[in-house]
Amino acid sequence: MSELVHPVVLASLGGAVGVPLVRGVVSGCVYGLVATGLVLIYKSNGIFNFAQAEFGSVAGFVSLAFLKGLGGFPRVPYPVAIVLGLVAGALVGLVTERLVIHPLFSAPRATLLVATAGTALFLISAQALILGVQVIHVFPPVAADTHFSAFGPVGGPHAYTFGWTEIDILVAVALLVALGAAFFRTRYGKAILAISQDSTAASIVGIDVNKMSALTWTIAGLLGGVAGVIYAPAKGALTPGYMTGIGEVGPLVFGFIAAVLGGMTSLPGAFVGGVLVGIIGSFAGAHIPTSVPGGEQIVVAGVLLVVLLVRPTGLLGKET
Amino acid sequence: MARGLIWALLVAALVSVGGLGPNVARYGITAAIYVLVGLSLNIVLGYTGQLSLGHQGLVGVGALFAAYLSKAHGLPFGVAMVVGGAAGAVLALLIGFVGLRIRGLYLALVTLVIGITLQGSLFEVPALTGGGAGESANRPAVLLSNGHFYFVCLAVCLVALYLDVRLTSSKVGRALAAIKADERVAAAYGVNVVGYKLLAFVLSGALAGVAGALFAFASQQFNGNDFSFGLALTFVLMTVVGGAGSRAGVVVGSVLFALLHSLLAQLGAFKDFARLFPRSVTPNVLQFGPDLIGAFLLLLTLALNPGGLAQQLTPLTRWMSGGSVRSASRRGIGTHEMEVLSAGG
Repeated sequence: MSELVHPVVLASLGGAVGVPLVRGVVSGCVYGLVATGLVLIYKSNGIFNFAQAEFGSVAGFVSLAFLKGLGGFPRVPYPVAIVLGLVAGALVGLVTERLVIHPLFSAPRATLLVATAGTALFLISAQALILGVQVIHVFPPVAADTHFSAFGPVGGPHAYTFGWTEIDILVAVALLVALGAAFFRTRYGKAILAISQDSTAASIVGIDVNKMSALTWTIAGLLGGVAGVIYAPAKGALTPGYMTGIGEVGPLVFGFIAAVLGGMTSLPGAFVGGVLVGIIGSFAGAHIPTSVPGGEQIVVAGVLLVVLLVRPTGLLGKET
Repeated sequence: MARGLIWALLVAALVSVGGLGPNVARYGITAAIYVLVGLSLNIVLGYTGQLSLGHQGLVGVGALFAAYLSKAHGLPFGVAMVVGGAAGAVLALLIGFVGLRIRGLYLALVTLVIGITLQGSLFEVPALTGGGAGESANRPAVLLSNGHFYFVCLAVCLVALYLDVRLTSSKVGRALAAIKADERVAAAYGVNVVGYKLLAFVLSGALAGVAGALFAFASQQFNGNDFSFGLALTFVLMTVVGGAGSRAGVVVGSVLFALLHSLLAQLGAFKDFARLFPRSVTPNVLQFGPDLIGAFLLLLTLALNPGGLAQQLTPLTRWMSGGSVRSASRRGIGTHEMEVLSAGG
């Protein structure tokens, strides 16, 4: 192959196409996970969950606390810390459902939306209160970073070096997709899907809607948690609310855009939407001159508007 | 008699804020600006039933144009305010056109994306915003003192409140209420749904733009970072906690959210509370505790009164405006009056 294409051409092609593509897929996986959690909640409760990304921030900081032995937490090995972080994410999802969503079950959706936003603000201020914003918390990479290089030699003009962090994201996401596909074949998975189609009918055939709502939010918390812990080493320095993005555009907003692109009702669609948003944003970031502020956001917002105006049900959504 | 006394006390309190020194006046200015934004959001969310998560964009555009034109082209203060309102109205008209096709939560999401895109792009253009330091927006000499500027803000607020009362009691207000209840039924009764929806957005945008211009002149500069998504969330929170659709509720909610942070931080009891924590955490508690408490109060309010503070305020506001408490309590604002959003429309 390399005999057919001149190395210089290959390298510059890699720089213009390959690097943004890989980068886009990696960040797109994070957006896709956030979007999948958003769609899961939207299907079951019909609300936009603004706290979805914060499940991830909590998971990230809990993992970090166990990794570094912060605040009296015992130091544990990397995989254990990650699992503990995920447990924390799932727990926050469950507690949110029990304390905030369940009591407001029959409230208007604008109120529920505000309630989830309030939950997010509560979680962010809790993080800020415990951690402060002066100290920079660096999340260590999965393994001592061995860098691999694509599209040219290391140190060359078009080299794209990637480490375990990126590989880790791709592996975690592949595992999760397989697990998710398996889960929706089980009784519980089918019950959740049944409720999302018609909760009254589901309760008539004997599904405990109340219990399943708690399970759905726990899973959403877990999904958010996975997004949070795989994004943490890629981002490096963590600030309170890093998944929501206060004062910058964080994974939450890209996740929402991804979920709408995917149709808001399709779990695979949401994930594909996330990867698409990641790739589009990454190409825009690589090719729009930096003298244009916010070029990446303008392009992503433009794509969202066009898709919604031309095909309001999203790319993979069904007519409702 | 008692009613007149309370009104007099209220007016006296509002006026005295301007004379209690620059710091108190500064709180008054912030509260007045938040009330303007709350009223603006109330027109789209409360009256028309469209949720906007991008109101910080409208406020920001108003602030940007007012600051830029008064600095670079020497526009007088009053004209700059009108220009700010016009800028907000034009942007809101564009969002309104999108809102004709995209509805419910999807529209909320589109407004969110438009708001943050504006913050990341237009508000960062160095030629308009004077680079990283921000564009300065100098007040005229007469208004340099916070006390004087507060009275300008208060006057604008009162005018907005008067216009809001006129709006809801006019043909336009009834048309918007019909649209909120059911667009198709409204259209069947001959209400020009497209026209009135756009009008609601434009009115809301104009108010938000004027609020933005005041915002810029209040801090004497425009800084794009001030108009983040967090601000848009605060706007929606204060409107819903106050009670979307209820003028008095929105005003109270806006004032509460505008002042909560600074008032809590000044409270002695709160400082004692912060000292209960380990020494290393105390400064964090002082800095972020108000936010945490604010979010908690918000969740509590929603859980107890899904209709917002307005649910509690209704008897009071009815009595203040001349009704009797008894007849008022039977007609409290119910949650059904807030049920406005259906996904995908």
